[in-house]
Amino acid sequence: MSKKNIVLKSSNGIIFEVEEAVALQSETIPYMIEDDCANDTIPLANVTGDILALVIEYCKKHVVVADGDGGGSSSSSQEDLKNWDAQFMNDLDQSKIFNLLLAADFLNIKTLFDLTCQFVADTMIKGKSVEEVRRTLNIEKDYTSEEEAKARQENEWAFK
Amino acid sequence: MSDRSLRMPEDGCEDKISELSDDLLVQILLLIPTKDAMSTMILSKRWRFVWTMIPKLKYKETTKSVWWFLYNSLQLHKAPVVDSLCVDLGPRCPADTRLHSKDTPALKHLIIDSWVEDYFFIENMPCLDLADITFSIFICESIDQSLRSLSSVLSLSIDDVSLRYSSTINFSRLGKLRICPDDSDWLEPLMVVLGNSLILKHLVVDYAIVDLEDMALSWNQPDSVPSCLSSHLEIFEWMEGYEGRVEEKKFVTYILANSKCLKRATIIFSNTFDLDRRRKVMEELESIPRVSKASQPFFQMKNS
Repeated sequence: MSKKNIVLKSSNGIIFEVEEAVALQSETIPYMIEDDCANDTIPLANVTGDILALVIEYCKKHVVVADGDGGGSSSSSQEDLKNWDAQFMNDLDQSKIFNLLLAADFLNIKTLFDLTCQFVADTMIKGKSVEEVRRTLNIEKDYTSEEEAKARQENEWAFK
Repeated sequence: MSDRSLRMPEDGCEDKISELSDDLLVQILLLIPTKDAMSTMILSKRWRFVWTMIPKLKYKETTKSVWWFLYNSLQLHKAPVVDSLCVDLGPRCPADTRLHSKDTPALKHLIIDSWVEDYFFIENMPCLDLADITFSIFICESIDQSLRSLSSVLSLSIDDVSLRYSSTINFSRLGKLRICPDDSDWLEPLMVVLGNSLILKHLVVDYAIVDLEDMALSWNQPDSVPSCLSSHLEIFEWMEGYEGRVEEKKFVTYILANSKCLKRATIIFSNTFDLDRRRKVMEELESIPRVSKASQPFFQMKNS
């Protein structure tokens, strides 16, 4: 069986050629193929090359082997995939993580979107104090001390 | 999509998360406990109201003023649809304010598991699909009216006390009913509620928390057969603890004798059964005449 390739172009003009099954983990790309009615390059104006490379790395790892002996199972075991996902996320800096989240949202790749959201929730917010979250995420406190005191007071039941 | 994502100096000190849209932030906050999500309001002005758009709220017993906490957060909350509200309280958690969920008319799921002695009040929930109301002690003047607000629910999980207060409610949309008795007679009030649930398809008796020693059952055959039995009921399940007591057996016999559309019945035996008892009760059940023409396998019987 011949395998069809799809060509993706990042916002900064970098070209990636990937197997159709890899690209079709995105639920957005099929619409773009239909809209363009062409086998040409699909431009992804919201995704830079370095992020698109990460997306493709993820999709290649998670591509489901069609017609293979695995009977439609993934190319790796669930356990392997989980470990791979964890390592994949751990290797990224914060800027990449949030751009990856935006790309997964735009390309509508549900598992990658869930993975990035979960990583952000677990490692950057959950169980941390307000000050720790601010520090972790570089969030600037733009409340005046009065405003912050007011917000805290108004909701003090949340900060027993 | 935000164009801001395109400019990205790799200095590592940028606040990327605050640039995400409200929708995306809500997705992230959905993954952490409601209480943590609420505290993000203190982070900065950008975050002040993000948590109020979370469509699922889950509260656990964490503060002594949990009802106040709940009340205030529902007041502030402004998601267009709260599709799930879950309150999980421990025994004897003081209830010092009313749960007033009239401000959530679009609420779809309501799960309340608590020991509440004082105030509980719900009204105006026309969109409620699923309600899980399993109070252990539930004594308050508004119980009747609160339960009435549940009349349009699709799936209802309820304890014996609340069941008794539901006898005059018409459950016009109810498809699934789970009864979780605690220690009082549930058979009679159940038959009344069945009579008022015209399209019920799925009935579950859940004995997980039952206190059998204190529970006196009484069985009186209803004057007329509830119409859901003759026209709708397809699944009957007895989860855990079927003892084969006389009243229990009469009830099961009645269900089997009148449920014309029944496709499946599952009965899980008490774990106190020995092999002999198990065989005997199984034979008893098998010998009950059934009106349904459903093909085998019909009964599933297990030890819990």
